[in-house]
Amino acid sequence: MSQQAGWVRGALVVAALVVVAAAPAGSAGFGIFEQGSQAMGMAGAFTAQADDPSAIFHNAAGLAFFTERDIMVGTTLITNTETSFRGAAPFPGPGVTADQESVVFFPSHAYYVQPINERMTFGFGFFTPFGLATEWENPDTFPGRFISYEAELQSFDLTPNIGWRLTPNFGIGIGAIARASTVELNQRAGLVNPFANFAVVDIADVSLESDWEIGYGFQLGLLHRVNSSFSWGLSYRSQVDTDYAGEADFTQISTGIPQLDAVVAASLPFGAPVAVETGIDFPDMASLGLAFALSRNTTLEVDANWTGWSSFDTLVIDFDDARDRGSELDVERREEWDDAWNYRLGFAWRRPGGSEWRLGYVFDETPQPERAAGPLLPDNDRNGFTVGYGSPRDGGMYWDVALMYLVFDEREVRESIDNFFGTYEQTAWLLGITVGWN
Amino acid sequence: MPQSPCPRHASTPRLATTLLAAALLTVPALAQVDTGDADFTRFVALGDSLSAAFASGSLVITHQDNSIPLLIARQAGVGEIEQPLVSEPGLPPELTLVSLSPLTIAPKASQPGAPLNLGLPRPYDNLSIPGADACELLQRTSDAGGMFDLVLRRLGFTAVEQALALSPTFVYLWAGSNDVLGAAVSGRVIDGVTLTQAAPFEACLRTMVGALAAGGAGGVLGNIADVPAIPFVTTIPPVVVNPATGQPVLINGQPVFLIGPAGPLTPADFVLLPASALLAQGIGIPMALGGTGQPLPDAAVLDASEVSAIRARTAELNAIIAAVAGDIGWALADIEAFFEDVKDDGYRVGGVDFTTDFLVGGVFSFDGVHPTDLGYAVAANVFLAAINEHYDARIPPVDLSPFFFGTGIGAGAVSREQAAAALFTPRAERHLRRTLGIPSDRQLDRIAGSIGGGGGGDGAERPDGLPDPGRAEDDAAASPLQRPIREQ
Repeated sequence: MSQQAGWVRGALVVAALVVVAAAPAGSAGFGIFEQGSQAMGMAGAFTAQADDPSAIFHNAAGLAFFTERDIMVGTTLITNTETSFRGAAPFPGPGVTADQESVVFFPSHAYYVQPINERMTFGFGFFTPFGLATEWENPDTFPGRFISYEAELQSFDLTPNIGWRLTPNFGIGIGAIARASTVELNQRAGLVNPFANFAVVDIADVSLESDWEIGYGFQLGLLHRVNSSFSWGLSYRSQVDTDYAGEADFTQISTGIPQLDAVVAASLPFGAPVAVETGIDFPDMASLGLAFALSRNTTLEVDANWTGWSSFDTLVIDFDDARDRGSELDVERREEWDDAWNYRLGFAWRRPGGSEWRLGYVFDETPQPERAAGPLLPDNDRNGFTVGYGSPRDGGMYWDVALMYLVFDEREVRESIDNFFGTYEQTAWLLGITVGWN
Repeated sequence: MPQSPCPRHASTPRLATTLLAAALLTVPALAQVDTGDADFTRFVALGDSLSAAFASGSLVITHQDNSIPLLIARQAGVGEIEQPLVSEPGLPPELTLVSLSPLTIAPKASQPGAPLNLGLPRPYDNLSIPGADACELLQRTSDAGGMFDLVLRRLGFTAVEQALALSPTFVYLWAGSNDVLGAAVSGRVIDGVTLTQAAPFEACLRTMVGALAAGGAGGVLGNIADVPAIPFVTTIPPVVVNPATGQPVLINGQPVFLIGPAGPLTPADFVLLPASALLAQGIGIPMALGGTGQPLPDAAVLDASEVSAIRARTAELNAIIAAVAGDIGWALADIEAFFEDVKDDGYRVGGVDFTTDFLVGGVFSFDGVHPTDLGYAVAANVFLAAINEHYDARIPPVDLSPFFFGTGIGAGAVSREQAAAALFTPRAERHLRRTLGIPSDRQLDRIAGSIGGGGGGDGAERPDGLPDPGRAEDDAAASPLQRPIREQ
């Protein structure tokens, strides 16, 4: 590895510390919509306002209306996540229960906005639009371990944008996207044992981890502040296709029978990493927002967001085993997700002095068909309730906080591509904190 | 002296009638399960080895405890049902994997198990008889100490008559597999002998179902799977294989085909599983490659035309089964379609793919014909799904976890190539052929000659007037129950 490549890799590792995946993520599928605490306080209903630097995520056309330099950084602490599973027949059967590890994640964001002239503004953003982490307790006994007991997707976007104010109240935005991401999957390999009435036993632990890879895309936005009482916005973020190279490590699990272990050892590529290739087509997204000033101090916004999750059709993992056993190891999961909508309602009340209270509600439709829901990702429709508060924007430092309670509809899986049936329940708390300077 | 499974004291019709009447007083209480329009108050099963839970060449309590009828009964809230249980090590002794190197399969004991509940004072609820074809369920009452006597107990009544005596409200009937299996496992297609003709099959099935449904009983019929796709047929490739690598021997880049009864085999021919013992002796292998140069016998090979004939007949019989189910208003469990999916794509359970591969697939047991416990449980779920759909029921599926995780130790990670090289000990090979009722070439030649390639023959016991290949003149190949006993 060259010194430069090593430096880049090191920088990516550092970046990963602040873009670590979210579980369960704030948006359906493996999307994350919490990229600024002002917007988060209004459940992400922000496309038609886009009046802070997180416009780079929500609607780049908002940049067109900036008149001063603005810098904003923040994070969303995702904590107290709870995912539980109750099994059902035919597999793994009633009476089986499992829980995911409760862990803390903090997908983060940073924005820089710099007006170029009276009509044009440059903006640069760093945020984490996608992420996933599932980790089940007791991987040695978790019945879904042959599908996945730990999976992770980390990503972050670097996106330079230009906002252009075409008229005093109408602006457009355009930006490029460079999305870095990596995936990791851990599972067990099991085989039937003809010495024990063909029961299945663990014979290997399989850990697959990709390198950080970069995919490219673009985003567009329109924002029309029609008058002091009404504005509308439209934004679009393109699909980003990413191909990954990486390695898979096979670690043998002893059966306790040397003769059997020898056969297993000859059957799987233990001892040296196996090259793997996979890919993810991150979906495109579009958002339409309508904002109304109900009074001098109150704002209401309604957004509808569409995500082209049908791009996540098949998950393919190609193994390139030097001993030509790759084709037997290859994985092809037909996920066949659907495009999905979510609907966001946000309300802001500006107090005398400029501080602001915010409330929001989001209904987020899952793109994941029932048959694809499983230990790798048990997604479902979700309802989110938010409350937020922001300090006055009167020059200098400002800050926003937001709290979201996310509750998933119970996911009952009665049809499964893995024949892994049961019911998943999930809840999560998200706390957003953002600090800015202008 | 082995114990006879046949109760001498239960041989009179009067006593039998008493026993049958007693059955009506021992109806189990139903648990709370939504069985829809299906009435499981008195549940009776009829079938063959597949419904008896025959596995690894044996009928034994460890597998009978998970028979398809019993699993259905448990799920439907009926609870336990009475079956002709056999103690370990089974009847005949169950085949088991005794060695990985060389990969060797043999009976796990020399002494057979014994019947456990011959004295049940009424017919069994599961009247499935290993080796029975459709017409035999309707017309046969005894087989001189074989499986019919184990199940029917020489009461003088057929399986259908005993089922009727239980006044069933719901009937499970999966028959017909043995009407095509004989041709596949014997490697000989003799119409009307190893392959039942459609007309007598339909006559028997309609008579049987008509009688069982006459009292208003509901029911479910199972159809016939693609027999030539079972591991017994598909495991051994028709080419010479290097035992060290498990890969085909190539000469000038081309595989070398084994020698069959009519010369070199073709890619469309199949070598049957018991031939492993012959191949180990060099039979079927050209002398240039270290073999004897002797051809494999006809009984060890199923050629392409025979496969076509079996599949065509299976399609005919399945059309009859579907028509009968439709006419009588019973559910139809499409085992054929399900097995086709498993054969093509495997059956995925919790991230593990089960396939029809021999030894490594997890669906078929060591005899290469009958399913494993998990295979039977999965088949039970196909029946339950059909019942639920047809009768607007909500009977829960069978929990596969006990079969998936089991209680065993270690992992049998053998490759497909190794599985294809599995060696049946001579005893296991004889055992396998006998329990599957495979007559010798000589026997089949005699039968075929006697019927002139068509119907007729000297077996007076079959309802269609044809001899039963499972009861040819060599009675070592006739009685699945007695054969292992005589072996001792």
